[in-house]
Amino acid sequence: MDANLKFVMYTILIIWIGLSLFLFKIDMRLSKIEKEIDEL
Amino acid sequence: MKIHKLVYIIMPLSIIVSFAWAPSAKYLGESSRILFFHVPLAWVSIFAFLVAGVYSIIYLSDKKKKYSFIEEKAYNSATIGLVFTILTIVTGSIWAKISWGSYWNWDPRETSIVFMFLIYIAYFSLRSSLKENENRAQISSVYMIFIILTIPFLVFIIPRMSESLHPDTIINAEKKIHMNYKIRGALLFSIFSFTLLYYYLMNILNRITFIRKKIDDRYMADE
Repeated sequence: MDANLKFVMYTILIIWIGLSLFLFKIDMRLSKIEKEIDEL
Repeated sequence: MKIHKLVYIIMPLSIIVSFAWAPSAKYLGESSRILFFHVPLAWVSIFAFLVAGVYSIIYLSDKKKKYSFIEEKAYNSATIGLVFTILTIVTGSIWAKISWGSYWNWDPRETSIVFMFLIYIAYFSLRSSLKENENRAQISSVYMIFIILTIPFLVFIIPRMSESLHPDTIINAEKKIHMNYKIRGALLFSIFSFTLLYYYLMNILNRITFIRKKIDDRYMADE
């Protein structure tokens, strides 16, 4: 694979990893709040 | 594991497939790989608005209030749709610059997506301007139904009415797909992964709406 193409692919993958970590954090936080609300 | 969480695996796989497995299109070169992002983004932006329209129809026809948060779900879907529309315009502009030499060419398809974008902006303006109005949900839902009536014109009819810089649609007048099987496979996989991402984002936004409502109800009960 061309070096430029590799660079673009890795850049998009890194952006996705950052976004997925952010979404995962929100997901976990929401699960925690939902559990707290259910326990109230 | 819930199905929408598969997006964590499917999405990076789709990125790798788009770059490492699928070949670049003839004549267009490596820039053609934007196809694997631009087309799925456009698909999800239309799909999200259709879902919002369906939710609005359900909301207006649900006299006995059988379903909860339906209007809010329509709003959430439209929000995701708007973000994806912006991303569609951005990726399209980058591709246009590479292929046609200019970021914006007023091509029929470009013009129709701008119209769609403005119509949706109007939905959000309308909804936020009716904050204090008790009929906000009904008025917004009626407007959303008008919006989905414009989709067939903006997506299927207007772009086909005049000459376009865009290539033939995937399913064209001859009903034949002129696409390498690897490119087609990667594109379909990418469309699937972006749809899953939409489903995941909808799940998060709907849960936030649900939590917000529960907290509001509790405050009301305390007062």
